[in-house]
Amino acid sequence: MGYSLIGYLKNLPLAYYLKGGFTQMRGPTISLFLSSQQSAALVCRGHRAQGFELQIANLPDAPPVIGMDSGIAAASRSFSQKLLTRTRARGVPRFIFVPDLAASDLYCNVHSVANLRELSIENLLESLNEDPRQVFGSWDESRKFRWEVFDSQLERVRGAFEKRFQEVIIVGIPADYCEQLEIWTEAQRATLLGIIPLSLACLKWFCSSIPIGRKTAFLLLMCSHAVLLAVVQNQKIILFREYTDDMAFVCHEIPLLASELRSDEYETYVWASHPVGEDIAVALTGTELTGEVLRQINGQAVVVRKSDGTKLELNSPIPHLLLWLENSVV
Amino acid sequence: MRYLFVSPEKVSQDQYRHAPIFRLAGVVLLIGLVLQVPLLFLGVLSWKQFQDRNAEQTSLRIELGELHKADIP
Repeated sequence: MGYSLIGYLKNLPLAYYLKGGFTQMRGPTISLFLSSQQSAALVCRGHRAQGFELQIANLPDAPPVIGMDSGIAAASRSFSQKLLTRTRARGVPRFIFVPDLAASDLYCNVHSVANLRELSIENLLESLNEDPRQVFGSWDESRKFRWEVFDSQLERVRGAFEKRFQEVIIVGIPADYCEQLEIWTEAQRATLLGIIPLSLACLKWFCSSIPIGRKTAFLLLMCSHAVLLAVVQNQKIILFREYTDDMAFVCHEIPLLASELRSDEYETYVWASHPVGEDIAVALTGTELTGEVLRQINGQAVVVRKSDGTKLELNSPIPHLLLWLENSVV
Repeated sequence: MRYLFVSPEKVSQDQYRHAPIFRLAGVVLLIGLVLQVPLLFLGVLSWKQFQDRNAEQTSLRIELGELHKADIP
């Protein structure tokens, strides 16, 4: 990002400075998980969880959820003010959005650099912004998307490809939804720290938190709209697929993929945003990343204080993911 | 993952508001602006003094002229 003195003077936030912005300390971070089926907010200060709220999408003035009407009446106090009061936090909030996007709202794929015509990430992003068909060949989405390019360890990359990468992961989400979130954050007089799709957040958490060694790991992400399967080798994502079929079919795919990849030793992990039903659990083979398993991986439970002052330990996947995300983004 | 999918305008806006270097630049700029007030005040004051002195000199010159006229036999 290039900054210049002229750019700074043109966009000088004088009103913000005069209102005491100079002396303002860093406010609390609110990480929001947004899905049409469930939503949650984790309020953190200084990398520590202060409060956790469920079903926040039903509150007045709540952030927009993709695929849901946001025709909610205006409230006397803003959404963030209410949330901060509930969790006894103060200051200008900073938001991290974790939307659970449907297959049509998320493009995420591993691409071999050898198959790309572009010579640098900048060129690739330019082509994607101009017309994604220049990169993918087939793209029938009329909406504009925002694009990001990552390496296999989900680090954002810039510059020429040269021989630095063999594969890149291209991720895109609808630009209009990003704009909606930006406008909503502006209305809350808050700061936007990032819009991180659920699958991306989970994959990044998995790659940086679970050492898989030489084994191949199959990570099944059970989101609201689809099941995503990622194959991880040496902490690098080598394959990413999305399934709308039933779980039994996806579980049947894993041994086939393992033999295709010539992986004798492999582990299957399951991360689900909602509790897995018994019918699905029967078909699943692998380690479910929830409860005690998550507590051991992250070293401790997510501890929040209830309004009566008692401590509450949370070990479900969403609070663990939101806390990890807060720690890695802020 | 910071500022992922956030527009460059929002990122720069956030940096201008919160980044220490820009805050410092803002402080310097505001102090500079505040310092202009006494300078402006002094400028106005000296201009006014100059105008007064000019008026006084003109009136003295007129008076001298009149005295000269009165002195002529």
